[in-house]
Amino acid sequence: MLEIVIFILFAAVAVIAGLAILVSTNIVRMAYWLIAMLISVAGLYFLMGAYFLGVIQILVYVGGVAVLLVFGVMLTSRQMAPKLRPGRVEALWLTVVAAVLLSGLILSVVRVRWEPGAVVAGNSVAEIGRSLLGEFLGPFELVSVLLLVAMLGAAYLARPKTPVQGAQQRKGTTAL
Amino acid sequence: MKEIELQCQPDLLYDGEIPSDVRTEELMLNMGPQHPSTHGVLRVVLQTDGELVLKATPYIGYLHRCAEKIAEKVTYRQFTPYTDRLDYLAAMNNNLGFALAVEKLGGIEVPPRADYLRVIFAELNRIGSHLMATGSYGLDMGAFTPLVYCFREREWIMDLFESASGARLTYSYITIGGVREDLPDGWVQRCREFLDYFEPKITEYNNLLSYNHIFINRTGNVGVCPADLAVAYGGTGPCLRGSGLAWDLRKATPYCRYNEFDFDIPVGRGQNGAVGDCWDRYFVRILEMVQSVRIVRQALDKLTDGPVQTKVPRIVKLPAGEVYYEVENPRGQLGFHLVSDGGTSAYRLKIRGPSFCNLSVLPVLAPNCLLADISALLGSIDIVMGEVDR
Amino acid sequence: MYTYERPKVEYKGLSLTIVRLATKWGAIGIPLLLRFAWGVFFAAVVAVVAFVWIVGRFINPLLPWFIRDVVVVVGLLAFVCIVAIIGIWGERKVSGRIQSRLGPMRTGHWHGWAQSLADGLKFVQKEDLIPRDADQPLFRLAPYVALVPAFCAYLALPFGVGWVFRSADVSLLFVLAMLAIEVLGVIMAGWASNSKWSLYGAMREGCQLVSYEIPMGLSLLAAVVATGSVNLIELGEVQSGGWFSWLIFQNPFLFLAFFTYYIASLASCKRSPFDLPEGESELVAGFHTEYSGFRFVMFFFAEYVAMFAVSALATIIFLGGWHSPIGGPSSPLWFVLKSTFLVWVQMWVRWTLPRIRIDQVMHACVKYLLPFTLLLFLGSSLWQLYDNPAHPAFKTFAHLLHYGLGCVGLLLLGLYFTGMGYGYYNRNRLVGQMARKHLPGA
Repeated sequence: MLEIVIFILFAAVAVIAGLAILVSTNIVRMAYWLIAMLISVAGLYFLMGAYFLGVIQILVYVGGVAVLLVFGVMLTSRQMAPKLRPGRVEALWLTVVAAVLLSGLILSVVRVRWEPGAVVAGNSVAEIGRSLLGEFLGPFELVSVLLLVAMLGAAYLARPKTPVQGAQQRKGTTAL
Repeated sequence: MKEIELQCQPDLLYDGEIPSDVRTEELMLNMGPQHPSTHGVLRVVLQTDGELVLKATPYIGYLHRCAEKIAEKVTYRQFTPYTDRLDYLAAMNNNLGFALAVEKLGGIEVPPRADYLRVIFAELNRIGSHLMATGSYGLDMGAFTPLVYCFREREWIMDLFESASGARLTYSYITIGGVREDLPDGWVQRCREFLDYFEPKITEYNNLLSYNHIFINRTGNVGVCPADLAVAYGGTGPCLRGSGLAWDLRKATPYCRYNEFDFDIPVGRGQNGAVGDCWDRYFVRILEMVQSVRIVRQALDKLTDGPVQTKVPRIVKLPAGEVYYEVENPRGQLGFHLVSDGGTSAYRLKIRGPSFCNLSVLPVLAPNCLLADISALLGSIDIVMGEVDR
Repeated sequence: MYTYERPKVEYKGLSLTIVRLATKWGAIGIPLLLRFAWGVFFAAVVAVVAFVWIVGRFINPLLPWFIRDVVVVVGLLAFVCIVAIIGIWGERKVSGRIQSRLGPMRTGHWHGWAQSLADGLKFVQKEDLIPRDADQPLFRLAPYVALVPAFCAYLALPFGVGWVFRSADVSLLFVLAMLAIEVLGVIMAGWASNSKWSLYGAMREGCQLVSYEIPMGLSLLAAVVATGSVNLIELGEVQSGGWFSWLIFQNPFLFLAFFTYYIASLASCKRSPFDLPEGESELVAGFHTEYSGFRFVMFFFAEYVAMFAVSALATIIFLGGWHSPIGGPSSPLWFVLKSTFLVWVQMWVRWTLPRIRIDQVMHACVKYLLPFTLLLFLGSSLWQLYDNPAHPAFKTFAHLLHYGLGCVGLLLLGLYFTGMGYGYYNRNRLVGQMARKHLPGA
């Protein structure tokens, strides 16, 4: 009984936050609704017994990715409350595509016969560790290479375009 | 509103192209008149690109009190308290400069005891002023403790001054013709006690702040002012000596029997970075405190008996003429250009405030500094707005 | 000319009645309360005991686990508030003593112990100022986003073997995750204040916190590798057995990991020398410049709560948690004592060192701390690999080093107490003759 209540709580927050992201026109508010949604999804992970995944969701997604997102939004927006509003044709296309995707999702959820599996809340960390270094070693290494490539790309993209002068050197007198 | 603002301050815009939409936005920051680290009512408008400062424009005048105009109205003796309030942290030195200028123009001789007393008080005030500069510089850098320690030392100095002159900050003690009154009993003994107590404290400040690695990283190689730049902008005092030039008026044009004393002129040697960085200017002040202690000890030994004031009429009338007299303030060379037309008050008194010229180096040193370095820069130049604005 | 019109605050309805009642009856009630303060205190104690008995007798049989949870959470809230209040008072006393002054001495008659309470009362009745152009919902939300995760970290923090709200397998990561959400509150505060200075503080703080989470986590992971569990209770239980079984002395990498974790946690709590986000001399108060009254108190509380939380983590993982160093019974009091010691060291460091510039902060993290902690992690893992009976020579070497490090730790502790004793014994001589002769009562 309690599980259902908690599930409804977290799921409602996630759904409302997701809808708010779509409905809101202020980019910064959108970013914070996204954070709310990510945290409630982490709550759902906790409910399912995937403690490690929930904690990593908060640590990495909220503490890293969402912070980066908020940084980017705040630093590049030209005014205090930037607004995004799609045009007429865009809105039409968006509605069509969204309706198609939504119907596909709903049909797939309804048609499949779901069987509730047992919630195994064992020592999840140890299990995940063993499978990462045992069964899924290949994908693990590939993902780390992917992250390395992403970091190198980011460092290259963020390099200073003009040579950086020594920040505190002054040579000779300059007339002002 | 925007137009009116721009008309009043036409150089508010960055003189260059208007930033395009693609570039990152350049922030115009106002380190306003009320700011914890602008040492008084100074407004600095900063054009920054992120953390990097592109242009810094100081706006002064918030503390202008028409001191020079008032000098034309009041008599010479009445002007002495106004000189206190110019550089209110070094009031004795201001009084000294004005008194020396008036005495030079009026041909007034000062008794030897008054000379030695003047030296004692001027040097003690130099110690007090440098303590204040050091303490508040530490506070700007985020070290809260040296401030309280320096203020603790300043309390002893101010106690000495209070027992001699009656005031703690604006003394009007050094007047035309000598010193206002003689020392109370036991003052010399207390002064020697203070000097013995104070000398080991300088080592303490060095250990706590000067050689602190974080402090050196914050101030070393920041705001490097080469010697020719300092000279070109009229920088004097520790700003000039920190850049390597050994120029001190007490040695170059000795006044008030300074040539009888044995002391050194500390200069910046670039120990923790380039010569003329913030650390050098700061450390020159620390070393000057040591030298001032030396001078005060010698002066206490040389103190003769005698009158402390020559007979000067109550309303001082100076013959017509002009004189420009400079003394070595803790912050630099304080100059009084006194033009007299034979009356009881000056015809024109122009005060050359050292902080005014030292501050003019700020827009030259500030570009390519980080935002946190502006506080370091301002603290090391050590301005007092009373002198800048008068 | 633009003139600022102060918005007229009009109380309506319920608020009006509350304000009227409070002013009318408060003027009578508060002096009355103070007159019979001791009586009120005892009456309150009796009332609480009665309440607890009633709940235990009649409500507990219906919902036992719920009652337990509520009680524990309320207790944790109370503990957190007390930690913050004592922390603020302690900070002022400690800073005063370091700066050769006394700190609060009046409120409460004994060394100003009630100063924080008085400050809290003062803040509560301050005007609620919100800049007109600030982002209203985010401005109001930000203090809670900063404070609530800091409190949530205590939900997984064990004070002793049975003294934890929920013992989870991933409690270490949970605490780290909760401390990571605080970043968002700070950034929100800086953005919503609509002031360039606050924004600067928020940006700097975001950079700093997010960067220093990595060395923090890596240092803790070095210890996790040594024990093989992320469960804080197991990490604590491994260290039962006195001084030499503490994880900090187990291998030299862990010894250094403690110090890197401590430095990284200083940065994560925005404490000096990393307190650029609140740089008092530069940005007035950084990201919480525009906050006044109770919202500011929440940021302040969040800082002290986080300070205690990271010190508690360090205590559990490196310093033996709730176990006593001399082999007596373990208790939560040891835990609180050790965490308080670490908090005191944080304050000591704050009032001694100047502030590091933001680019130097990032330099220090990415260029020095991060590679160093990676090396520590690697070293600790390799140490675990070789420190087993299959390599007897290494095992003896590790054993020797273990006890050697323990002795080094004892030496450091001895140095600390010696310094303390020397300073206290010579406290009159060290201050100087002038102070002694001219103090009142000399």
